[in-house]
Amino acid sequence: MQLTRRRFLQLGAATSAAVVAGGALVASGEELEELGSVEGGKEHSAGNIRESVPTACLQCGVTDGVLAFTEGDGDEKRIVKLEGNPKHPNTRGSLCAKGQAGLQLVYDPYRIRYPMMRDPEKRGDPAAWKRITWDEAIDIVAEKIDAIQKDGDIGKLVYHKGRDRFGDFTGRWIDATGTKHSLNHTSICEASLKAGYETTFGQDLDTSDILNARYMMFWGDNIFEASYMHNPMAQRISEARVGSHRPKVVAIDPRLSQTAGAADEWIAPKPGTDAAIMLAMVYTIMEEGLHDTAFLDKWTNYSSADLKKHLEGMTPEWAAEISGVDAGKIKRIAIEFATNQPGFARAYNGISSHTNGTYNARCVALLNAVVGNIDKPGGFCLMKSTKFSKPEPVPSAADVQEELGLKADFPLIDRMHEDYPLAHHKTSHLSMQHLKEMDYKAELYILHQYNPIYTNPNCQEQWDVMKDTSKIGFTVDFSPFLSETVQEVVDLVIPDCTYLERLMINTMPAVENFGYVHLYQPAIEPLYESHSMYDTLLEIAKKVPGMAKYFQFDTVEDFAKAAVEGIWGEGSWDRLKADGALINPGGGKTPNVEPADPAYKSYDELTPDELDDARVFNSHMVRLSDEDITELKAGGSYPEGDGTIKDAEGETAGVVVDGVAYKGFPTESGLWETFAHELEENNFEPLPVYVPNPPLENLDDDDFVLITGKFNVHVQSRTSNVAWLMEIMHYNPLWMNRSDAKDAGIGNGDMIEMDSGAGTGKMECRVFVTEGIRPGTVFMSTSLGHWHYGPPATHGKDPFAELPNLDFTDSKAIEDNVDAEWFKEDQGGLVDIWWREADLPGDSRGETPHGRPTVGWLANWITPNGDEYTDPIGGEFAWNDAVVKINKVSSASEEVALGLGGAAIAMGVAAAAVKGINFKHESEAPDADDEAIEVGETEVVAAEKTGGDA
Amino acid sequence: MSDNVNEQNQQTVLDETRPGSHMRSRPEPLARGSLYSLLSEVYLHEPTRDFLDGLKKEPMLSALKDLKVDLAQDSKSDEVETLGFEYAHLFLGPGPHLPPFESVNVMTDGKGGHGQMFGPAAREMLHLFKSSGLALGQELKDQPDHVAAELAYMAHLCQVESECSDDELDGCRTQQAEFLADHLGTWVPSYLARVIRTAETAFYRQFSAMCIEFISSEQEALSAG
Repeated sequence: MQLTRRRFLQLGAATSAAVVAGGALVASGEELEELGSVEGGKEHSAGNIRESVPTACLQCGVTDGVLAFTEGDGDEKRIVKLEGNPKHPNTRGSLCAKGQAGLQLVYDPYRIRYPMMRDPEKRGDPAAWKRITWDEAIDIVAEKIDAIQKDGDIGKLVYHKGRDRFGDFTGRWIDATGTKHSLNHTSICEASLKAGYETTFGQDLDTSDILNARYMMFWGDNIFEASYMHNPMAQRISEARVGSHRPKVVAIDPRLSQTAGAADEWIAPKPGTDAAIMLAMVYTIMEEGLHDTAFLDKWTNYSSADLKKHLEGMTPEWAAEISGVDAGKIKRIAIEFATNQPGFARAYNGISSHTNGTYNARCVALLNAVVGNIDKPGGFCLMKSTKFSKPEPVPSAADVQEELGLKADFPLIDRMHEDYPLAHHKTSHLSMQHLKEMDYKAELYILHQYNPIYTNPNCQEQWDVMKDTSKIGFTVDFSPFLSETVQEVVDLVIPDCTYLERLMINTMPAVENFGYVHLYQPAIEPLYESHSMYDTLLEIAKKVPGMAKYFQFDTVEDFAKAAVEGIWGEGSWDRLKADGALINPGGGKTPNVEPADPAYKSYDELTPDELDDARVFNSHMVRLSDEDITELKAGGSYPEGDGTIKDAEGETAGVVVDGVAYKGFPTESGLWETFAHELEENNFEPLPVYVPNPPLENLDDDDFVLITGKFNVHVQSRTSNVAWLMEIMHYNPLWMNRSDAKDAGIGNGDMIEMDSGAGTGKMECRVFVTEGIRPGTVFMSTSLGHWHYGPPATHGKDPFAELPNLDFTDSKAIEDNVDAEWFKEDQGGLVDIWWREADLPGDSRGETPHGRPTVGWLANWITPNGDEYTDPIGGEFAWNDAVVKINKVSSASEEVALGLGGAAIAMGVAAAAVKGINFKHESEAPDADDEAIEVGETEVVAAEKTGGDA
Repeated sequence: MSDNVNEQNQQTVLDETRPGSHMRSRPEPLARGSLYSLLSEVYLHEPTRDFLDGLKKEPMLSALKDLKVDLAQDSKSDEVETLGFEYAHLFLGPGPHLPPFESVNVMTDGKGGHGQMFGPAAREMLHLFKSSGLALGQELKDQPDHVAAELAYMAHLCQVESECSDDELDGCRTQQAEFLADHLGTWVPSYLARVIRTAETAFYRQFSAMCIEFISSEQEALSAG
C-alpha cells in the first residue's frame, strides 16, 4: 500500500498543469458564506420559500393549466411540485396523476444534455454518438434545408410531429420550408371521429356541456382515464353527479374501463358495432315520437320524414343481432335518452378506431341531432375557440414553392392526397409503408415529440423503413429523452427542453363553452445545453435564406406576444403571463368573436352572471346583422326563401331558416348535414349507416378481437420514464373474459402467445382473467413494453446488461482488481425499481423472493397495419379491428410449483391494477393537500407539516 | 438555472498559487491535487489530442504505467475519435449510458429513492462551490454533482491544503476526509466499477480502476491523519 501511495503522489507530481486544462470548476470571483445546509432528501423542506409559475401541462393533449412550484434561486432553482391552476377555466385547480408527475421528466437522468450526432449508417448503435456543438447542429439542419430548397424537390424534407401544442409556430415554420410533407399522429388517434363530425357539422370535436346535462352517454370514450378533455370533463361529471341534476351516466365499451366502472350503466357491445345500436336508438326515438321534428326539418339537410325512411328496418332487434346487446336494453336506453334531455352522446376513438370509424362518428352526431340537443345547455355542443392573430408575413407552402421556384409536384409520402381524399387529418401511420414502396428518398426527416417506432402499428415495419438510409437520408429529432426512436433511427438529436422549461401559446376550447387562451412559460430555464425546440426552429429559420423573411422577430416570445396582443390588445400579454389563462367574458354569443370590453379576464374573476354570459350556446342561431344581410344581398347570393347564403367569394356566409338569416353551422349548407354530399361524391354512404368492419367479419370460433386503450396514469408512449407513474402502473396483462379463459384452459397470470399473423406475428404476454370484458374480446393497454426510454420504462435493467461480459484479459489492471470488494459488489440498476411482475401487496421492497422484473408488453409488434386496417374515409388506423388467436404457453401455478416464480400472484397484482389500487406506492408523490395557493404569490411550506422529514 | 461562470475570471483551480498567498506550497497535497485534476479532466469531456500526447510524455508515462494505466497496451486508447465515441457512450448518451451524477447514483431518502437529477447532493455541491469562491464551468452547466466536478472540488481542497498555514492543516485535512465520506467516496468507486465493466477501451477501464484505488488510498491516508 505504501508503494502504491507513493506512486499516486509521483503521478500527481508528474502531472503538469499543461496536460490538465481544467474547466470543471472555475473561480466565481466571490466567496459566499452561510449558505445553510441542504435538507435531507425531501422534495419539500421546512421553511423554504416557494414561488409558483402559472404554465400548462403537456403530458397529454388536454393541456391543463399548471402551477409549477419552485424552490431556490439562481442555479439552485428546482421544480418541486406541480398542481392545477385554479385560474384555468378547464382545469380549475385540479391536475391528474400524469400532470402532477411531470416534474420527473425534468429531472430524468437520461435527458439528452448536448446535441449528439452519429453516422446514419450506424443507426441503432449506442456507441456511435458523438457530441457536437450547438452551432454545428443548427448549421447542419439549416444547410440541409437550404440544399433541398435549392435542389427544388422540397418533398425530400419531411416534418413529422406528434404532440405539438404550438401549431401556430410549427405550422408557420413548416409552411416556410415549402414542403407538403407535414405529417402528424392524428391517424393513430381520432382522425375518423373528426372526419365524421366535420362532414356533419363542420367542426372536428365537441365540448358537450356536462354541468347542465341530465343524461350522458360515453361511446368508446374513456373519459375517466384518458380521452380528449379527460381531467376537465371527469371532474365536471363528478361534480354534476352530486349536483341537482343527478344525471345518469352510461358507458358503452366492450371493456369495463374506469369510466364504465364509474357509470350507472355499462353496455358492452361487440367491438365496432356501436353504430347499429345508435341507429336503432334513433329508430326507436322516432318510432316513439320523441324526436325534435323542428330541429330535423329546419336545421338539418335531411327531413324527419326522409330520415324515418332511411331508418326502416334498423330496429333494436336488428341492432341486437349485430351488436350482441339485448334489444330491450337498446330500446330502453333510447327512450331514457330522449326523455331525459338535456343530455348528450359523446364518443372518442373506441368507436372511431375502426374501419367504419367515420360512419360511427356520423351516427353519434345523428343520435344527438334527433333529440335536437345541439349546442344547447346540457347538450352536445360545438367547440368555442379563440384564434391568435398571425404576425405578417404569413407563409403558405404553395407561395413558398412558387417564390423559390420549387418543384410543386413532388411524390407524396402521405396517402391522403391520392388514396384518402377525405382524410383531412392525414394518414401518417401509412407513410413509412408507402415510402418503402415508393421510388423515393426523404433526404431530411425531422421529428418532434413523437416516438414512431414504438407508437405505430406494426412497429417493426416502421423501424425497418426509418432505419433504411436508402429511404431516409438524415433524421433529426428534437427530443429531451432517450426514446426508442432516438436510439434506433435518429442521426442528429438536438436536445429540446421539457414543457416546463419553455414558452408556448395555445388555444383550446373551454369545456364550459367559451374561448380562452393560455400559455406555457418556463418554471426554470432549460437545463444543461437543452433549448426550447421553438427557439431552435427560429434560429434555423433565420439561417435559411428562403425562410428568414417569415421569422422577423427576435425571440419566440416576441412572436407569442404579437399573436396574443393582436387579438386582445396591449397589456394582454403581461396579464396572460401573470395568470396563465385568460377568457373573453363579454365575448358575445358566437365563437371567434371580436373581443368585448373588458377584453379579457381570468376564470376566477368572473361573477356567476358574467360566467353565464361568457358561455356560448346556440352558436348556429346567431342572427346576421342587417348590415351584413344588405351586403350579402348586394354582393353575394341570398336565397329567395330558406336556404344557404353565400358571400361574394362563393363562401357560405349563413343560412336562412324560417325567413331569418342566421350564421348557421360551419358547413357548406350552413345546416347540420345529416346527408353529406362530400361522401356521396366520393362514393361513400352519404347518410349515417352501420357497415361491418371487414377484418371483424367471418371470425373463427377461436378468434379474439384485440382492443387497446390507456390506463389513467399513462399516455401512449411518453410517460414511461416517469418513475411515479410506473410505480402505479407497470403491468399490462391481456384482459380475457372468464368464460373464454375457462374454455381455453387459461388461468389468471398464465403466459400466453398471441398470434395476429401480422407484424412480428406472435408475442407472449400474461393474462388477466376478468368479468370486465366482453367474451370474444381481449384488451391490452398501451404505454408499456418499452425497450428504451430509461430505467423506469425498462425496469431498471442495467443499460448494458445485454453487452457480452467483457474480456478483461487484455488489461492487467483489471485483472488485478477483479477480487476487490468494490468490483464484486452488486451494482444493480441506477434506479430503484421495486416492482416485480408478481409482487404481493404488502411485500417490502427488495424482499420478493420470486418476483422477476416486468416491463409490460407492447401489442404494436403484432398489430396489423395497412389499407385493410384503415378507415377509407377519415383515414384513422383501425386499432380495434385486430384479430388474434391465443395459445397457452405456461401456467402460472406450475411456474410457482417449479420454483420459476413470476406470475403466481398476477391475479392480485392485476386485480389491484384494474381497480387502480396503488398497493405499493411508497414514493413521495407531490403533495396534494398543501394549502391553497394564490397564483403568482409565494408559498411558505408549513414547518409542522414537513418538520419530521428534515 | 443560470451558469455562474465569471467570464473575466476564468481561473482553474489548479493555478500554482492562490491570490494573496505567499506561502510556499506543500508538495504532497499539491501532487494529490494534481492527480484529482487529472482524473477530473478524464471524466469532464472527450480527450483531446494534446491531452493524450501529454500523457505520453515522461515522467507521466512511467508514473501512469506504475499505476497500471498502460495506454500503450491498447492502440484504441490513443485514438481521439474512438475515445470520443466511448466517452459519449459511457457518459453522455443518448442511448444507454451511465449518468455520472451523485444524485442519480446515490439513493438519498433512505428508502431507495429514484435516482432523479439534481437531488440534495447536487444542491450541497453548489453550496460547497459557492462557499469556496468557485462556480461550475460552462461544460457542466446544471451538473454540480458530476463526477468531474466532485474530483475538481477535491483538487481544490488539496490546493488549499498545500497553501494553508500549519494551524489550518488539520482543518483542511478534516474537510477533505469529510468530503470523501459525504460525497466522492460514497458513490464514485461503485460507479466507476460499472464504467470498468462497460468500457471497451483500456483508457477508461484503467483510469477508472486507478481512480478507485486512489480514492481508497486517500480515505486511508486521511483517516490516519
